[in-house]
Amino acid sequence: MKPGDQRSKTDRKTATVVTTVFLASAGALAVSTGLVYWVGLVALKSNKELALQREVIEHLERMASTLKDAETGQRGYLLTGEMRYLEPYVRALQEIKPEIAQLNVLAAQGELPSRQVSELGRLNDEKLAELAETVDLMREDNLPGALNLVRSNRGKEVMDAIHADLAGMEAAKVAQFQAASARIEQATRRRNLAFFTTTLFNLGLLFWAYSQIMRQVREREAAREQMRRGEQRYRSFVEASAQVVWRTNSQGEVDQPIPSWNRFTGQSDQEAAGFGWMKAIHPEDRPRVTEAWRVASAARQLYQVEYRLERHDGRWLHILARGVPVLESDGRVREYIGTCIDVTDQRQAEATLRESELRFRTLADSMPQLAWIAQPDGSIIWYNRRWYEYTGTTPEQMEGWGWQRAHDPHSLPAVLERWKASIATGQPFDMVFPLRGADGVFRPFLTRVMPLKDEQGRVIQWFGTNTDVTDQKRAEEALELRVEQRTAELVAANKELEAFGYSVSHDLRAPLRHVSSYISLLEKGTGPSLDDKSRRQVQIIAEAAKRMGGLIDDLLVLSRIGRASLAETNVDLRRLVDDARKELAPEMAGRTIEWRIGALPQVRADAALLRSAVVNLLSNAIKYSRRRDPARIELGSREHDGEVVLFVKDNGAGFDMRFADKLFGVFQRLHDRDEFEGTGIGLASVRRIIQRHGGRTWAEGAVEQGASFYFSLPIERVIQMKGAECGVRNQETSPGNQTKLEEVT
Amino acid sequence: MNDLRRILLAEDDPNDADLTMTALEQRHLANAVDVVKNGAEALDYLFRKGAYAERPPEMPAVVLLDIKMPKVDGLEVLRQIRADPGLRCLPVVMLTSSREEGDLLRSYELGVNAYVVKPVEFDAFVHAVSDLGGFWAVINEPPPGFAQKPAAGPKPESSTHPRPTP
Repeated sequence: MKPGDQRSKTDRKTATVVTTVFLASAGALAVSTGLVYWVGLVALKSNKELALQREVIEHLERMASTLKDAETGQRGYLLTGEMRYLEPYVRALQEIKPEIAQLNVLAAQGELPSRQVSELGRLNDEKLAELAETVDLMREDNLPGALNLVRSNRGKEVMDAIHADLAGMEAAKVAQFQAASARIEQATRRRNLAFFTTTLFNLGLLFWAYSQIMRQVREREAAREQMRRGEQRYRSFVEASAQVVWRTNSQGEVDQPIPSWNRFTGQSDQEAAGFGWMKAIHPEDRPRVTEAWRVASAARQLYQVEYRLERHDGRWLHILARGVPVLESDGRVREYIGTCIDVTDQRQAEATLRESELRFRTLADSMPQLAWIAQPDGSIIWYNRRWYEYTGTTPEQMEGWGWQRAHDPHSLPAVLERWKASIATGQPFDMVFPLRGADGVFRPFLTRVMPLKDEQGRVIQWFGTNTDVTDQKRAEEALELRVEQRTAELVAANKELEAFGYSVSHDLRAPLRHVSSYISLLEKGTGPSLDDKSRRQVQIIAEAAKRMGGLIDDLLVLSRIGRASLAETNVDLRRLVDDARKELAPEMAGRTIEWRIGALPQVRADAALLRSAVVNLLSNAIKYSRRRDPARIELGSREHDGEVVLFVKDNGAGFDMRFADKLFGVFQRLHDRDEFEGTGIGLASVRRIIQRHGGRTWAEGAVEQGASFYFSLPIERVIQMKGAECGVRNQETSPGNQTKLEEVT
Repeated sequence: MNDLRRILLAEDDPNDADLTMTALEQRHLANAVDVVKNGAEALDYLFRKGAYAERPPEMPAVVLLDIKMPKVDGLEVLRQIRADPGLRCLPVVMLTSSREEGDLLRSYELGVNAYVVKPVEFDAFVHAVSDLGGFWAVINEPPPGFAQKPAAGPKPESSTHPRPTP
């Protein structure tokens, strides 16, 4: 229900209450007043009657009393004969006549029965005559006559008749009086009752009306309060949203000061009055404002216009002015009420946005890629110029999901799947697929789609670009081709190398074997018949062939190290060293060697290769220390900088550090073959083996002061830092082979 | 020694063939050696085709194969022997100069019975060849119905000669 309806209903109710109360109260008052008036009339009339009756009764009593006075005077005179006693009689005679006359008047008025009054007059006359007769007799000194007359009882009889007559009339009057009194009493009681009842009724009505009115007053108060608050809120709202709230007359003239306008523009009341407000508006905008006003006021419609307004500080601001006409009941415009809002920031933001939009469009239209923007649901709402140029399509064809017509039907399902997956998840995607050009040729495009998300992470728009990767693809293909060719070449070269190795192992060894074998056969067959020189030469041939065989074998091992895959297992280096020493036992024959073996780790490595490396190192140590007695060979390990470093140290011939680099090269030897035999391949193999395990090799030494060979392995390969402990110092003595073993910790 | 079964030696190098024969001779095993010069001839011999079509059907006690031969190499011969139901159980020994891991692996994959690298020194060569020839031709018991003349001897598993390992 609307507040207006409620108010009118309340008003109607109030009117009904007031009317009802008024009518009821007025009716009750009228009835009450009528009753009181009537009762008053009755009382008045009865009172008059009462007074009359009282007067009549008085007359009657005075009549009786006067007669008695006359009789008393007569009797006194008769008894005394003195004239003095006759005086009441004389006075009574004078008074009696008007009394009678009065009674006759009353009788004429109907207040007394006229028959009785005339009877009374007659009796009175008779009495008076009797009295006068006696008095006259007395005056004549005829006392006895007078007394006889008195004794005749005639006077007494008349007197009794008069009394009876008077008493009768008085009694009637008294009865009448009493009846009137009773009437007055009754009327008064009725009046009181009526008065009391109406008063009570009116009081009740008043109370009811009071409560009704008070209730409505309270309601009105509440409604007024609500309205006041609403108004306050409205005012705050207007003041918060608008810089100026204004009012003009129907012509647009300012006829009352507008404080907010003055505050904003710095104009005074006088300056703004009339059309003075126009002066604060930018001159270029004034005609537009005038026109807007003219149109709006003519149509009695909303006045709305934007203009530049000079603020009090001289700054020009963009203002949006709006006003609505307030109409009189006859439809004429009474006034215009409106606001001025500062929209400068908005306009500037819009201008910036337009500029940015323009920049974006220019950029998007000038770039070589195809670009587009899609709604969160995937329907595309914008393409750059390049898209239309490339595909030769029209904006109408491209609407929504129209882009599909530029796709290759074969790749379209995959594209749709990816696109729909991205729409569902909000994830960006990259994809290469063909797009048909205006010339009907499909070219591969790298498509990159990025979502623009709001703060809640919801996709607002999708941005997509399609980059022609034809050239790239070609280049890639060319590159791939080149890589393939290179790989093939490499594979071929590797194969050749393998074939070479293969050939070496077969074909190089075979003639050697033949030389060696036939020399051996020759020696057996004809040896005894040869002279010493020839026998020595035959021996040289045999040895040369043997060394050549060793060289070839070592070379093959070296080449295999590089090619074979690592068969990694857990290797206990301590046990590996012990095995190597056993294997090298023949080389140690007849020597005294002090072994000092420290803790060695367990590592993850190719056991056979690592063994080969260790054998090589130990073999070298044994070989180059053979001129020492006792020879000392030390092994150990330590952890350093992400590696485990192992070393083999001997007190042998050593080497010149200047040639340290050459040590690990193939066929590099630092000693004459006469001194120490060897192929010059062993350390090269060690280096290859360690490199294949991700480690390094190096050496330290000095001529005749021993050498230290180091190799490292990545710490990741270490399973357990300390290997099996040797525990006891044991000295092994076998014929011609003395070995000291010492545990170093 | 006439009751010894024959040995087939496939060797392209006449010197090697000569040396092998010499080694076998020194062990008195050479009287029953047939020599072919390449893999193709070895297959002809074994399948009794071409020049060997008229050969008696007796199968050799052992085949000594060089790996590297012209036309058909030793590995191919081995493959065909193992693929043929009649020859599948024939003992084959690779007798080669190669220490190549690849050859060794391939040979064992194809089911070679032994793999011998010919030593450079003649004495060692003689030992290797004669031991092999002796073992396979004399000691080894062929599968039932394979050889025409069974001979008593220990099983290969209990052989005193270790099988070479890669």
